[in-house]
Amino acid sequence: MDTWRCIIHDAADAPTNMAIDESLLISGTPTLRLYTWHPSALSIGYFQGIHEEVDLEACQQHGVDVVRRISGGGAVYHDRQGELTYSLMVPEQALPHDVQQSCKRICTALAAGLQQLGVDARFAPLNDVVVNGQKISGSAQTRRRGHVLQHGTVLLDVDAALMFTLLRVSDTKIAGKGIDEASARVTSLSALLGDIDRDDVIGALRRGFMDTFSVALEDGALTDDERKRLPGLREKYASDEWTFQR
Amino acid sequence: MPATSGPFSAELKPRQGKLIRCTLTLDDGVIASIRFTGDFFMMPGAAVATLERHLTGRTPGEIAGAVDTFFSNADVEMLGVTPENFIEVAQMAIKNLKGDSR
Repeated sequence: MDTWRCIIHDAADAPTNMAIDESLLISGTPTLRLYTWHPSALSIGYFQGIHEEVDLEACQQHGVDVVRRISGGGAVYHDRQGELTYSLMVPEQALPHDVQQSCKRICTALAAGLQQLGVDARFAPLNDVVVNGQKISGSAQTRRRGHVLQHGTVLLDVDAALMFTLLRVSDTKIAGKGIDEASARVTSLSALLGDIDRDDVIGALRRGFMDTFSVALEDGALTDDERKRLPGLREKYASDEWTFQR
Repeated sequence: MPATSGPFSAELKPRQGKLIRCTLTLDDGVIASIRFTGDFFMMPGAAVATLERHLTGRTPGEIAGAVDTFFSNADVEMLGVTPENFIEVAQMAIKNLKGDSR
């Protein structure tokens, strides 16, 4: 049985979190990382137009950072208290080659972890995990030099009103339905289970990944090389050139 | 139509796909600038910018062929979007630019 590294990180700011994920992608050591964000942040997909997706003034008013990911996908709100982020770095050979199938496999591991908490979580194409049709997790993937990075959210609690204040949601996307109806399509572990302990969620997700991928997870930390890359990568993610490129 | 037209945009949310937008300008009948944004996935990420450069300087009538040629030759993986989506949304933006969005 293979052993993957597991890193549980304290909360960090948005550019630091994205820098760590990219540093791990560069190194390619199979790693499951679980982390939170402080301050709360909005991450947008690599291909999203920032002004099309984000109310920057509202983010500034609420003290919410904005960062562009290297992965595609949509805009995600990472609430300091209400969200746990996972990132998985593995060689491409560890996953089905097809992007959709590889995304499904990783999301299935997430769902397996959430099921251990007693929720009926399931993968929903293209890149979500849902409970009774309501989204509890969304993921985004990118690949580089034979390595896959997939990262995403697990919603512990949702402030839907704040989320939709910060996001510009296209009418095309919500098919003309109101924000209330869009909010109803999202759920959280606290909505489903009541009080939830973040450490219990971390333990469950670890078990989900171990079971789905038949690997052991060994607690670890960033290597010296991974740490050395961080200042330069963090500078990139904090830069206007990167953030406002599209 | 004035020599320089735009920018005009269109967006498309394919069934089972991800939102894709196109914003473009024309100058003397050729694409002066074109940008695709959206919630889709593409690897390598630089492929979208390469596609945009590939389409710049072409006429609206050349969009479909140029997109097809690009994806035939590029080693690109996509999720939530297809080459046809890029063609369709660019052509929708052209229609909006010409004021023909019926």
